[in-house]
Amino acid sequence: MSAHLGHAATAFVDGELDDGRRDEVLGHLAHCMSCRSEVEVLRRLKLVLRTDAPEVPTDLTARLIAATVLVRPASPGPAGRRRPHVRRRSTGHGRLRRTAVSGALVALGLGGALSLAGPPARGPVAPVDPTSAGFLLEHSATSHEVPFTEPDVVPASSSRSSR
Amino acid sequence: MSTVEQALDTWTPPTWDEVVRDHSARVYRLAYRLTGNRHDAEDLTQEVFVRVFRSLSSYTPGTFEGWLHRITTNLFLDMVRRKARIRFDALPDDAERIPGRELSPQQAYDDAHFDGDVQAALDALPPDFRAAVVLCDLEGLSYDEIAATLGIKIGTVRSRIHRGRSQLRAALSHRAPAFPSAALA
Repeated sequence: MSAHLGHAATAFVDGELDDGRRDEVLGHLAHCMSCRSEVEVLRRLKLVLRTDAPEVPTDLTARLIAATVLVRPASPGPAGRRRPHVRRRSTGHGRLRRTAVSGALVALGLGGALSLAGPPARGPVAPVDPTSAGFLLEHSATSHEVPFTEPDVVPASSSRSSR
Repeated sequence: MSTVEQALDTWTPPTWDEVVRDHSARVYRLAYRLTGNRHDAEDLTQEVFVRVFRSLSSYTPGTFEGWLHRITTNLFLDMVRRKARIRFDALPDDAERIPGRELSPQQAYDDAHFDGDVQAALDALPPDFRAAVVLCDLEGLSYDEIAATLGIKIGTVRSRIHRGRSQLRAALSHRAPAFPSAALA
């Protein structure tokens, strides 16, 4: 079967063959029915992922904006149109909000190191290791599976600066 | 003042709301194909935008989509690895999910009614293969771009896509004649 396309069929439908190899493949396809149908199947496979696209929730954008608003730096600017900080309690979007808060805490925790524009955090900011702090918070935020740490406990002081 | 300077002078960065509006659907679709369900896709999408927001200052026009691809796939693969580790270390064999993350009726309906077999076939791929195939077929990236996005060699991209598609095809062979199972390679 070495005369057939094999791996080259995949690269061919992806447009990833150099000119010489592509000409060889085209030459082969001209007389090989079975490789032609192989290429046809691969093309349909490629298409199916695009065409049967999942529905995007209609309120997704609004919820993402609402969620990331908590992470915004305080400085006014093109990307910094501030919104009043709304006190949050578990509501319909409890999950998204909790994640957002964790994200906010991560961002604020990193604030010192990255000098995100804005008023300095009240009180001394405890030095944190961004990698491990980020990992712990993000882990519980994304997975909700085994929270290694209680997000509300870690940067309690910096959470106050967001108000 | 050169035209480039003038262009830079008049260029105003998009607002955060614009950034989210322009890219949320795309990131969500990618996240859905990678994670396989609405719940995880939303979590992943949000995580991506939190990341993007935090490092927005390093954004330069022209690289934004590549940046989004990289963040999304890397967060996804991290998530998969963490889950695998946790499952291995701490959970009984049958613990697929911690209780309490049940889908709403609407989410369950959506998950069940959107081309379930295509997504199920994707879900059955190893995550590394899935990422390569989805970046190629959904996002239309070249092998070079996929290699850069995933931090792997181009030869690895080739073989992951080839093997990934073969598995997809086998999983979808019940859709014959669209995807007959005959394999040449």
